[in-house]
Amino acid sequence: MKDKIIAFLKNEISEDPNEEIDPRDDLLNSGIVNSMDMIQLVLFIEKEFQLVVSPGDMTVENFTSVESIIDFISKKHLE
Amino acid sequence: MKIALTASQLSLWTGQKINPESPLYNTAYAFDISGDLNVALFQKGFQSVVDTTDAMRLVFFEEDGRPFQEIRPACGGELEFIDFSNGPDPLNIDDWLLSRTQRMLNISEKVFDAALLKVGKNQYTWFLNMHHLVTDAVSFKVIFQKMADFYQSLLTGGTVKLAMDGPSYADFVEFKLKEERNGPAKASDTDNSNIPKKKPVFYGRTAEKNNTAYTRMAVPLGSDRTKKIRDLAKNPEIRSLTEHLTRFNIIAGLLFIYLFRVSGQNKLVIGAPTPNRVSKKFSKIVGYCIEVFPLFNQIVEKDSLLSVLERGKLEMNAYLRFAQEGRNTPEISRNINVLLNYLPAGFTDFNGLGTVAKWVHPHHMDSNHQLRCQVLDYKEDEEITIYFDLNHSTFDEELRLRVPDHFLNLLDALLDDIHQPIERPSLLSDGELRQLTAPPSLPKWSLNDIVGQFEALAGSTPNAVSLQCGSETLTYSGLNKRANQLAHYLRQNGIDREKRVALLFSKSTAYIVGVLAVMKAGGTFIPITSDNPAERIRFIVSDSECTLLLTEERLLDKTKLLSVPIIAVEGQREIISEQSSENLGGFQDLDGMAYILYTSGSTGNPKGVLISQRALSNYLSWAGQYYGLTPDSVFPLFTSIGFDLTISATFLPLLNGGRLLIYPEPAKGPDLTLLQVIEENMATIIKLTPSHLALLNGMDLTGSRLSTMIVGGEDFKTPLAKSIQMALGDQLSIFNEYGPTEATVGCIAVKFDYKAHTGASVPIGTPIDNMTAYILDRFRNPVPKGVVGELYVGGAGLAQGYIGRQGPGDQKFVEDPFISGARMYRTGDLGKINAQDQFEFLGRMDEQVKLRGYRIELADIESNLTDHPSVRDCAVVLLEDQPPIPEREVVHCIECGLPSNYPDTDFDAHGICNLCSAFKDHKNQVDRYFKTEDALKELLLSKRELSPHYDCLSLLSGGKDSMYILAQLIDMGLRVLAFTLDNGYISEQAKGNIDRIVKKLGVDHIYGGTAHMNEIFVDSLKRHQNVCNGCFKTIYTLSAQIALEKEIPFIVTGLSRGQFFETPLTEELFSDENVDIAKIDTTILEARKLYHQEEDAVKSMLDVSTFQEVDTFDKVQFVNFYRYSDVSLEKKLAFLKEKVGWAPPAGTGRSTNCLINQVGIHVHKKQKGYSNYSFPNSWDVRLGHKTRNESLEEINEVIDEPEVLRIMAEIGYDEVDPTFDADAKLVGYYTGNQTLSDKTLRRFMAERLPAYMVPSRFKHLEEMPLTKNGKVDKTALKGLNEVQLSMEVPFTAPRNEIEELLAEIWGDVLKLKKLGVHDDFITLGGHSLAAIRVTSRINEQLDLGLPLNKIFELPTIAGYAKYIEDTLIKLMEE
Repeated sequence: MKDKIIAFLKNEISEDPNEEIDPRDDLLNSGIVNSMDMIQLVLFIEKEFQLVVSPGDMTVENFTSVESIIDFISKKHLE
Repeated sequence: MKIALTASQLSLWTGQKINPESPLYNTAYAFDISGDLNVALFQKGFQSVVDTTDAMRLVFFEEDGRPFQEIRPACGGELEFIDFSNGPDPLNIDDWLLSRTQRMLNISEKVFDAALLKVGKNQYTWFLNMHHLVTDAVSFKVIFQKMADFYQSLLTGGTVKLAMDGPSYADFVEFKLKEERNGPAKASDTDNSNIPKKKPVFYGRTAEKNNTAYTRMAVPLGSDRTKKIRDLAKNPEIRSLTEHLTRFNIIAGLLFIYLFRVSGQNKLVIGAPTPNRVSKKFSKIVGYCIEVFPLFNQIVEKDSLLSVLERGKLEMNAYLRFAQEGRNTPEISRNINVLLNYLPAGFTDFNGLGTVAKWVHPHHMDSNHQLRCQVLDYKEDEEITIYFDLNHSTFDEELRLRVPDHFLNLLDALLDDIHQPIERPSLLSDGELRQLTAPPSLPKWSLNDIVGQFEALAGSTPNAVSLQCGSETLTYSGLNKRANQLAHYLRQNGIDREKRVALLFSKSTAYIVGVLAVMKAGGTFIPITSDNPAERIRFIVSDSECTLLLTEERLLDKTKLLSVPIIAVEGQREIISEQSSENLGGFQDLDGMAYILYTSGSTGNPKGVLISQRALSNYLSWAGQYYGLTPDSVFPLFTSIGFDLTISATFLPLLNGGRLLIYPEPAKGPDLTLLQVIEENMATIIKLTPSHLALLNGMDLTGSRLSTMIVGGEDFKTPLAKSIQMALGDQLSIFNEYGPTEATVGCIAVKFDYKAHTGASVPIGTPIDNMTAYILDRFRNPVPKGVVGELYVGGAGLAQGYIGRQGPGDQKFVEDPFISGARMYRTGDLGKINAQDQFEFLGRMDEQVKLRGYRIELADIESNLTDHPSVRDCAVVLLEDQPPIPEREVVHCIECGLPSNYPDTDFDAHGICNLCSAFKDHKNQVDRYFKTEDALKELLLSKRELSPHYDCLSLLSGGKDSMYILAQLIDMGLRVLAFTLDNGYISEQAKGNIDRIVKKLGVDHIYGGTAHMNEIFVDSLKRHQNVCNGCFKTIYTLSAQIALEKEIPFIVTGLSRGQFFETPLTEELFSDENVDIAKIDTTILEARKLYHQEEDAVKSMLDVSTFQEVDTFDKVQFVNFYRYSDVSLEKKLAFLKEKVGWAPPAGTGRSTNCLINQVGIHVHKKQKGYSNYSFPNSWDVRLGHKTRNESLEEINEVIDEPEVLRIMAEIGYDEVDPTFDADAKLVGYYTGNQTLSDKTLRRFMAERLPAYMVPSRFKHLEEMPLTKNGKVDKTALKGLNEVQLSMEVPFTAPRNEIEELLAEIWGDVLKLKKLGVHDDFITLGGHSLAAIRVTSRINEQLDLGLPLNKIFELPTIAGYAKYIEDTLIKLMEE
């Protein structure tokens, strides 16, 4: 799960595909993910992990790092 | 290679096409670069930018009406160099930039315009203007960076790599087109209930169409406000995913609140462009990639900035989440008139040279947008900049200056306290506030003692006639004496200061004497009309605690319940006449009460309004001067004495030396004394309600002596005012006077000005002397001019309050916040101040209604109706006819010309109607219906051996179309009999044509006719609002008889293709992709059989028995010529000229064959608002048989009204005028275990309420319809039409899904709002065509093949639904 997300971020989102992304990196404030990239990221997560991200799910807590995204996905899968 | 346009590009393309002369999509930047530039290298670098940027080499063109784009391999990239550095005035640079930006780009050749300006030593400006079709904000940054890189590379001696780098715009377009072809990514699963159905209206101003001019207004935030916004963005309750998103949300939230405050609309949508560079690979391309997506918010009660932002945060996530293909439907885009453009990043330096990027705007914008909010939030340490682009269509200069203040006042207050209600802060600047709460203008007189004023006239002009009632006249002296005698008598009976006397009278001399006498005695009078039931009289007498009741002998019956002393004046005449006739003298008490007037209350009982001498005197003094009363004035009293409006007539003539004319009401039946007033023609000044005035509309008023009309009591529609002004000319002054009883007769007034007053209603004007009026919001802040609020009034004319309810707890009389110590009255009326500073009345906030000037609380009636033992629950509504859309607000479909007031018409963002859009989908199916001329010939010859004389009968009207058909049929070698219906109105010209062509072609010809033609016309006008339907049916009937008689197998008709779609085709027939033409033909034949069975004048006047025989339609077949012929007008005329030597007469080319046709057009336009040709013509245009302009010319043709009126009189048609709702009526709906007759209920109510409050109709409901909130759904109740109300079965709403589906389909087809399951299809106006539509839709939706005639067998929804259910069960079992 972690690798898939990082690969997506590197290939589709990040300006620099060689940039190393640590699961604990702050995605939102470091400039890796900008506001509009969220659309791509959400669509990717929905498709890849078979879940629905509701407007209420789109919070800083759920998307701040790759780790928090993984937590969020696991939580969603438990629902 | 030509490429199609993306949906977003298409939208711009259309916008440009609508405004071909406007540079609205020119997108320009001027980059001021400080430093020493190498001009030659800069130019070379720019050429390379163009060479490596495909979007800059795009050109646009049309093929077959469809736009395409194509990339040119090379394109002039020369960068013009202009040296301004020696120029006289550096200010010229800005002018140059503006005029250059406004230069139209010829996008079929080049999509950009660029120049490098030298503006001073080491100071350059690089100007680049691109058409929006090929660029967006990100693109400019890409170009800027590319330019900087190339220049740097050239400067350092390097070369520029000319190959395209990465994906190009063409790749993006291709990617988008593919996505669009695949349809919406997925159906959005958001709640659509908050999608607004209409645009917010700013400051009450309707935008004029197609205006693209705008002004960019700075909304200066400065560092303080920027800091506050940034701080608020850190609030964890508001924080979104990123800081930019949070600030975007804050500004969007403030904008939503501002929109709500200036429009009053709570469901709102803002369009917000997204960069839309959906994949990283597209992040560096130049092109128009952005897409505008909707951002919703619904303001709810008790919202604060915080709650709006919390909701906004979720909405914004939804916006991000669904910002993809398919989210933006035409319905939504159509309602976007506000754009929020949030730009989070600016430009960097140009290779280390200081650069300032200026966005040069062309002063033109998309005309659909009224406000664009541009937010520049570039750097964390810089101020946020906001601009409002305000479209001149809505914002005039004065308003443009105010808008930034309003927004900032709101922003400041809300940022200071994010928890306060968003409605609390005032939007107004101090200057505006002062202007809107200015103190009242002072009177030019001192307030007079009313009695003293009258007595003075009795002294100075004793012999002048003061009053006249029938044959009885009284002089001033005579009236004064009689009043004095009664006053002395009242004194003896204990009437003194402040004592109350009820006056139960009909309109009579005795009433006037009574009024004067009570006032002279120092008392307070309480007028009670004679039509009040005894119970209501008892209530008023006891509630008012009056000392005495004066009345007439004949009304004594109504006083039996009373316990106060009663004096019937006739009986006491002898004693009264013995009293002194001297003035009593000595009363000047302005604070004493003059009268108490009872108005409808919401509790079931009326409430008494206390009016002081001061208040009455203020009104009368003002009115005497304003309305110009003189001793020559003759003023009729013909309205009810219980009506505050009547106070004017009661006093004004008597205080100004004029004459009062009294018109008593008849003992029984309706009061039509107004007509008597007009007939006798003695009055010079009259006061009346708009409903009264509507009665006069259309009457012959020549020679009328009226010079002044005071109209009051209810909303006064401008067309009515205009029509009366036209009838009487400039000699007449019409005044509109507004005033609740609580502010004494009138407190706001205006003289009608037919040139200036063009709105739907005449404004109510400005406050009268000594009075104030404000439009306030819920927090009693004055609202900006144009914004709707509640009307409050105050000043000298204010009532003391209600009897028994005076005091601080009163909800209606409140403290005036602008004048210390003063009170004001909450009128409950909605109003606004228009751009001319006049007040306008816009309806009620509550359930109070006005009927013929009477003010009625519906709750008052309901409370009395519930008293009936058989009524369980009830609701009363006032039914009014909807006013038609004013002609100037009608627009026409840009493709077919269909007017927007055609029922159920819906236009998309490009101004294309729903019929045109749908037609594009099933054009192929429609094409299959049409055939060739060869097929026609074959058909008409197919029965030759069976027909002894003729192959066909051809209908000939004398117009070019029918002549062409006849000539063609002859040309085909057919044996033809020509038939003409002489309907009595065929023009001489048409008859000449007929004679000529028949002779020339050697054709047998007969005229047919009927003595009942005029009855058929009248019936057709009443049923269909045209004459053609009746005429056509007559032609079909008579020609079929002849054909049967002479054994002719075919009748050839000449309906245009457009007319097919009126009858017998319907769009529904073609919605199936695999349409079966044979099946359509069967359906049409079935419909024709039903058509001839319909009950109308033709069926009752002519012999239609043949149509009942089974084989008639086998013996005679109707054939539409134009189904087989697709000929242009030009070819038609050439053919006619060649074959019969006929050329059309010179002139307009409009149809002049049938003189009565325009009567139909006139009636249709008047009653439905649009020409009866609008619909068929739109189909002619759609099918290419007419151009849009030809059609528009025809449907907007000027009608010769005198001629139309003459013909109407001739055929005996009485015109009904639907413009003025003289038909407004109260309807009582009730539930309960039995249906009661209207008569029973009316009698029951008449015992409790005055006549004007008794509903004229009652309807038994099985259940009361409720809204989602559980309140009685009065809108649903208002949806029942006249026919439904008079049906005997109780109304029952649909009870299951099938019934609901049927109700929806019936409602669509029959144009009804609400359907009951027991309503009868035929009674509701269902006919054969409607049956086709209904049946086709049911069959399509349920995938069934139900026969057409079933609906006539089972004409109720309940019955039909049962039948469908049975059919479905049967199908399942099979």
